[in-house]
Amino acid sequence: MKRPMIAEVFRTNLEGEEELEEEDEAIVDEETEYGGDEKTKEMTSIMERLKTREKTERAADLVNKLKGKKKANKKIMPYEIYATSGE
Amino acid sequence: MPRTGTETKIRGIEQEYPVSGKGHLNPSLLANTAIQGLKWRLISREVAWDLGMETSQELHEARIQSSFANNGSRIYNDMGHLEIATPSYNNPFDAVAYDKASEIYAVVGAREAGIVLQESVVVHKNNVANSFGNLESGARSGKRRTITTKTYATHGNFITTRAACADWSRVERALIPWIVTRIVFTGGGDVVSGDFTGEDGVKFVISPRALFVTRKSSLSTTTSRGILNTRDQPHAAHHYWRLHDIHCEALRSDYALFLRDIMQALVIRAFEQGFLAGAPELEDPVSTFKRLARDTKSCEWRIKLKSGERTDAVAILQFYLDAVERLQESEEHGPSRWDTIGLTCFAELLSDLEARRLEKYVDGIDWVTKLALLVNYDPRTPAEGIGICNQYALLDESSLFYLDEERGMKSNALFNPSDSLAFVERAVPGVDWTALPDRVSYAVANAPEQTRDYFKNVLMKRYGGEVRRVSWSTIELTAARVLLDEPFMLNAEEIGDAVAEEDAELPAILATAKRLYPEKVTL
Repeated sequence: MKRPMIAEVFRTNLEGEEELEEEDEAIVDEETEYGGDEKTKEMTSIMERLKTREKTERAADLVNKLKGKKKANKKIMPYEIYATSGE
Repeated sequence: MPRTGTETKIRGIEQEYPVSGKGHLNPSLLANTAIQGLKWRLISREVAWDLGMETSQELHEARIQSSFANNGSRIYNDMGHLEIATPSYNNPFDAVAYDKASEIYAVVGAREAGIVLQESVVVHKNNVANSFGNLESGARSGKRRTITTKTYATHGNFITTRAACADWSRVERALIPWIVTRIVFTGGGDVVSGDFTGEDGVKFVISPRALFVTRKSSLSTTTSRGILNTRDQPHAAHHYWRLHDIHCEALRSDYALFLRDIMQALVIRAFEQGFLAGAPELEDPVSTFKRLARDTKSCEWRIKLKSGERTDAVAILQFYLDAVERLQESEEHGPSRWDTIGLTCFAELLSDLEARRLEKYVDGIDWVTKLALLVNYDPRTPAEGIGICNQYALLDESSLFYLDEERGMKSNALFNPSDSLAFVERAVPGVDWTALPDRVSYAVANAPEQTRDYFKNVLMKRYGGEVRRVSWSTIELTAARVLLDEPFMLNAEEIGDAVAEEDAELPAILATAKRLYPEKVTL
């Protein structure tokens, strides 16, 4: 049986992708900077933009839209679940 | 291969499966018999769990008896449910494959229980069980029948750093808006008692789990549930923190499983790197969570921010999309290919969600698929509505689809694995989904090659008689104790050559491990 390695499951190379150098560390050390004024300011400005985005009608009558969208020719069986609460 | 982006994050899923018998047998008896069944089928073996490294903050957890599956899963009875905790993996393709392998175990266990108990035993993958009070007398008298909804969970585990979580208010600020709003694509969907909404009968909701939340953060998973869980149990070295997410949901769609995993990993990485410091604050996260979960028709998903401004769930998710884009631009070694694929898919999803084109996501997003089934079956009674949702969650031949496609299509379940696979092939074209059946077959019998679980699993399978105790981060043999407290240590890349020969001698393997990690291997 073929046992696909994870590296084999990509369809094609993505444009602009660069090969990593062999000598790169196996585990890339991460720069740890928790927040910082600049990042906070940048992300806050994103939020401001989102708040002022163009108001459009977004309400959807989803139930109506789903009519005829999923057919299953299977009889509904009384599968009852007897379970305790908790995890 | 160097790991970049979210490939540096190990994660796994704990799924609680309710095992039910027609004779109303005790759920705990059924779960135990299913666990025994998996041992009889040589899918798992009993093992002593090493609690020395995993001091639990919840008392009942210390008394759990564990078994260890062929793929490195931990299997046990947790409060009457068959619980299967997957081994750790580090990419969204494996998130799908190991979730499906877990389903297969649950099916096999339930079938074995049915044989032993000579009962019809079924197993489901969902998060709520609805039961009727006084079903017979109520129906005859025409009185209102009470419906009770019980919940059990799907827990997600993502490794992060202790330093990033030291200030819990920072975790709340960054992640609560994400957990609350992500349900529009991660919601499992189900019907719950109308008691939750002050209505008669049952009500279909996007996320049944949201209705059981009472606070922003808490330690308990059974009462007073928080949006965030504060459990401090890293299953790794002390400098790590395991984000124990008790609001992952029981999903069956390949697309939703894939996207939930990669986006959760990306958001946590953005959190670690400081890109979520300016996340929008919800005015009342708990009530917002519940309100959002109930909005299945108009899908306005309105949200009031602490600042008093009003927005909607998609705008909040857009914030996270932007944050992750900035994260990827800043990655010194670039994002992983999974990250690039995940972000592209998420951007497309948000574009559709913004226009409320949810009908496109039948077979892709579980709550949308369940709602579509309800709409088209048009149930006339609460019992029929409950039955439809339960039949979607039914684990039967539908779970065996990846091992045997023909058999998989003979299922009674309303979840259609073929439609689900077709959806993910369309929606996530960068991945070769034809490889998924082989990967699921692999995942049933093996731990992921990329993580520490690989080494532990090889030892358990080949030298199980020598193993005294295991845990997520240790394995103790007669001849040695190995501390596996780094997520990728002794994976196939590191120790694969030493264990490649089936007849490799244990002392030689341990000597190689000792050479690689002298301080973590005690001979």
